[in-house]
Amino acid sequence: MMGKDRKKFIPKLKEKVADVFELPKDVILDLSKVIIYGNRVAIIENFVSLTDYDSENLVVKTDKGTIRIRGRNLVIKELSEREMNIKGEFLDIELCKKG
Amino acid sequence: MYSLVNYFYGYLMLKIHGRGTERFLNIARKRKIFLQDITPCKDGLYLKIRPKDFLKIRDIVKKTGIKVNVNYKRGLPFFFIKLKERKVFLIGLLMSLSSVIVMSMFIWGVEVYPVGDTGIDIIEISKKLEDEGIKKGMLKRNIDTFGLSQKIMTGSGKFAWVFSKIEGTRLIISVAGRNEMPQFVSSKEPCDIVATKDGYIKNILVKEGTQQVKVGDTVRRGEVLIKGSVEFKDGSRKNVHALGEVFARTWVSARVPVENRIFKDQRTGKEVSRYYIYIGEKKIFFKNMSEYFKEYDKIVEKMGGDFIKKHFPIGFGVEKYYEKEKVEHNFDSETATNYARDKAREQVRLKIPKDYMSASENEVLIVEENQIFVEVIVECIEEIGEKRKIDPE
Repeated sequence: MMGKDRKKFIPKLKEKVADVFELPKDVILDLSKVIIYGNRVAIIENFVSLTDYDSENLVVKTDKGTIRIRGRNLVIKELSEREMNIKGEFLDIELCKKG
Repeated sequence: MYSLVNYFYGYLMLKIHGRGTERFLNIARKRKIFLQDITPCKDGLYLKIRPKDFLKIRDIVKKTGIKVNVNYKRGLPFFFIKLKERKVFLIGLLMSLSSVIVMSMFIWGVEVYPVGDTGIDIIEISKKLEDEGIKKGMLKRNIDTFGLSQKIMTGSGKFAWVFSKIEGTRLIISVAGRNEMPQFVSSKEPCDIVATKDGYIKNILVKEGTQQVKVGDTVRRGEVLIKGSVEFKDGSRKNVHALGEVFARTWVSARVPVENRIFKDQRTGKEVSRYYIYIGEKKIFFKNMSEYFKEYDKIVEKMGGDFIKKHFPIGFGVEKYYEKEKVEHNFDSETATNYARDKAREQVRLKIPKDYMSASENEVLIVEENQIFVEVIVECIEEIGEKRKIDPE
């Protein structure tokens, strides 16, 4: 196995391992995690960067693509290295695949 | 929860504006700078930042080319910085704290509590405390409570036990009295039996010694009733320990004049209250009293003197004055006599010995110089003998 094959193979193996042993996939596969409480509070973990932010629109770049939150009065309550805590009134949440 | 933590660490409210605000946030995040409450506004963002992180963002600001304004600063660290500027306030705070600490080092009240009703002379104890050098305003640590109670105890034989302790700023001394011991005469020593009171001998029983008085004799206080010496047939004498019981009739009387006109105090219903602040012994009145009542009852109430069970020299109180006047009561002769009799009886009750055997009560009306008196006489039968040592001659 060389190059591209290897790059594809390892994530697939990891997913299988996670399936077999029933381990949390976000930890094994390094996926980003979005927790939403109603339409008020959202917690985004494991993201790359914040690309756009104002009171009605928030775009976060992750490994696999982007997450877009539209709403009213959006406020980032906490911003730390690992996670982001968003408060406001959400209207829609959109996931876009990379590329 | 976070607001409390924020208060302790303190925070700065910043306003950032310019083009690269998102970039600023991302770089700050990567450099582990903790940001809170990022709120968008018309031309930028508001955000909260910890004071220790504030210096770190200088690089990022230069890199991203944004502009930063500090809106306000909150929290404990900034409070202390402010405090440094407000020196007089700081001095006042320290002074008030230290005065509380210093004041609590002293004794501000000495209280003596007698336990039981065995007739403890509190004045005597307070004199004793004065001799020991204990007074208000002395240092707490100079008082050795255990030693103090020992000293009071050994000073006189009147106390069963003495216990002293310091409670807050008060020195509390509890004293239990002891009944005075009768003069102890050993059964081997020769003694007489002597009358303790005037009386009329009712009954006399001699177990040892020589009888000196007969039934029906009137004796005076201090008279020898049974002599502690025996005469033998050959004329020789020997001192012995007299034993015996002597019962006598004694009298207790009280005389009260019968009066048809009696004055009694009665409150008129007028009252005046004066409020004051006291510091130690000094009183500062809020209101000056220009006119006092001619005769009045005065009631003093103190408030705040016991501050959380600790004696505190500062507080406020109120003096209440109730005006009173003498009201004349007119009695007819029968009621007046009854009134006088009741008074006389009351007075007699106080004088009657504790363990008398039987008593008869008589009332006599006596006229003396145009004044009628009621005399109540109570007759008691009681033991009047007391042992007394014979002085060796």
